[in-house]
Amino acid sequence: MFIRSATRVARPLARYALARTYATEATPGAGKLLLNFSAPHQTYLRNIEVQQVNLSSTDGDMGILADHVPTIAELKPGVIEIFSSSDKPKKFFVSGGFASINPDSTLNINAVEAFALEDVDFDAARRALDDANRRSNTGTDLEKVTAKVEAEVYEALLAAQK
Amino acid sequence: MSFWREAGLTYVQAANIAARALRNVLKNDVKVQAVKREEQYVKAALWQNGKQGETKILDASGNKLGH
Repeated sequence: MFIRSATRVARPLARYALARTYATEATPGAGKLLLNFSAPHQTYLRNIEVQQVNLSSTDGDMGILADHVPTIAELKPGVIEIFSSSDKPKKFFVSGGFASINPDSTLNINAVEAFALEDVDFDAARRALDDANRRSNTGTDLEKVTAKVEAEVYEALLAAQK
Repeated sequence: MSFWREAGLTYVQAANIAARALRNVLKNDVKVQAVKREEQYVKAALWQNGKQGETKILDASGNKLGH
């Protein structure tokens, strides 16, 4: 699993290194990563200049810098870390969503739900994980898979707490 | 393919289940606001001859399965 995600991260960077262009052809936003981060009900960050964003996609963990290869990534439940030169790092936990990296070095992250880790009751998450694991073996197929999706969220939450 | 898609869930269904799971374990002050977003329903009324008919709530389950 780890090796798989490591290669996924390495590949876009390698491709970027090969794509040589003249300096005059550089994109207008070169060197800057502009971030938009929103959920359906709220915009968290709009057009913020950042250094790096770390997120976990279904294809593995990604670290995104300016001039990243354009990609769309499906987000797993997990932490999004945002590093900027002017502000202290921000951390959000998202339940899922999509991140799109555009050719002009803008990064749009659309999450279904996003909260700071301080807003999470980890004792409740631990209990909910036990409960979801128990339910993943009983009931209808729909109930089982629902419990599995829930367990995935709680496992990611508890991993994020450490 | 992800396990939930193999089990027949759509992306939106799985995303809504995950979002609800997260809302469920928030601290109380933020949870109150977040849980309000969960229940969605449609109210419909038929208008006839310029008069509003009876209002009905469609899908009274409050979209609990996230479809």
